[in-house]
Amino acid sequence: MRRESSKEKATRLYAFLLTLYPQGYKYAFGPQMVQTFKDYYADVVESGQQAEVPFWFGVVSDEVRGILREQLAVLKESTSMNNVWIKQGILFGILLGIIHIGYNLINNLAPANLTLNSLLNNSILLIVAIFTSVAGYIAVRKTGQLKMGTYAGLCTGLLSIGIGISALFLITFAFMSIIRQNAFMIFDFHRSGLSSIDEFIIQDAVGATIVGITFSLLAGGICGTFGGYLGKIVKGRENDE
Amino acid sequence: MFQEHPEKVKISLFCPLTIGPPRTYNCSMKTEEDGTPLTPAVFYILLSLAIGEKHGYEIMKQVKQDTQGKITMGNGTLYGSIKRMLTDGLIEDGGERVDPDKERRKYYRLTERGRQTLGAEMQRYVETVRLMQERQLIPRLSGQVNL
Repeated sequence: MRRESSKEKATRLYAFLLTLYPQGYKYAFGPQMVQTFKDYYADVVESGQQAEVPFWFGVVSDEVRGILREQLAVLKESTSMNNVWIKQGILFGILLGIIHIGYNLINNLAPANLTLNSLLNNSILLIVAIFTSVAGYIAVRKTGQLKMGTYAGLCTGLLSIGIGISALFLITFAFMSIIRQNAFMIFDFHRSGLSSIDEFIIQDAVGATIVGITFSLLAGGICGTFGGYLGKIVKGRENDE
Repeated sequence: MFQEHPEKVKISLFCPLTIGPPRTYNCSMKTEEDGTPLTPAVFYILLSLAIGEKHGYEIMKQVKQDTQGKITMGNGTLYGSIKRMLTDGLIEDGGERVDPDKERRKYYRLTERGRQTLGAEMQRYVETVRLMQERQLIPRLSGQVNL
C-alpha cells in the first residue's frame, strides 16, 4: 500500500480546516484554496525554506481569522435580512393598526347603517390583504428571499391586530353607553338570549378578537407570501435586465 | 500606465474624487467616492494583477515580492479579499486552466473599475508624497522623487 506523503497529509489537514468556513464560501473558494495551499506547501516546506511548525502556525492563525471573519459576515447578513422583515412588519403593522383604530371607532360609535357597515367590513378585509402583500413584496425585493415576505406579512398582520384589539377594548369600555344604544348591538343582544347587554358587548369584543387574530394571521401569511412572490418575479426581471 | 489620461483621474486634495466605485474599504477613515484609501491587502492584490492575470499562489508570491517580504498574505486573507473584490467588481474570474504541472488553477484579472481604483489610490500616494516634499517632511530621501 502506498504511503501517504507529508504533502498529502498536510493537504488533508488543511481541507479539514476549510470545513469550518460557511457553506457558500467553501463552495466558491474551497478547491482554489486547497490548490493554493498545495503550491504554498511545496514552495515553502518541501523546498526546506521553512520548518513545519512555523509554517502551520502561520497557516492556522491566518485561517482562524478568515473563518471568524466569514462566519461573522454570514451572521451579519442574516441579521440584516431579519431587520428587513421586522422593519417592514413594524411599519405596515403600525399603519394598518391606525386603520384598525379608525375602523373600530366608526364601527362602534357611528349610528347603525347597513350600507356603511357592509362597506366598512369589506374595506378592512381588502386593506389588510393589500398592506400585508405590500409588506411582503418590499421585504422580498430587498432580500431576495421569499420567506422574508411571509415573515413581513405575518408581522404586519399580528402587530396591526394587536393595536386594533387594544383599541377595540379601550373603545368598548370608554364608550359603553353609546355602544349600548347601537341598533345592531341591541338586535343581536336580543337574539343571543343573554341577560345583560354589557356582558353581550364584551362577549362580542372577545369574538371579534378571536376572528381578528385568526384572519390577520392567515391574511398575513398568505398575502405576505403572495406579495413576496411578486417581489421575487420583479427582482428577477430587474436582474435579467 | 495610470497617468495616460490625467484629466480623467484628476485629483485634488480639496475636491472630491469622481471616479471608481463608491465603496468603503477602510472603516477607520472617511473615504472618498472612489473607495480609497484601500486596505493593504486589496491594494497589493490590485497591484499584483495590474501586470497580468494570476492564480492565487502567484498573487501571494507577487505581493511578497512587491513588499520586499514585509507583507506575507495567508490563504485566508487572500481569498477573503478576493471574495470582496469580486463582489465590488474590482477583479473578475479569468477562468480555470490546467498548468504544465497538470494542476488545475483559477486565474483572476483586473476589471476596468479595479484599474481605475488602483489608479486613484496611486494618485493619492503621489499627491501625498508631493505634499510631503513641499513641506520638506521627507529630508532623508536619497533622491528627490520626480512627480
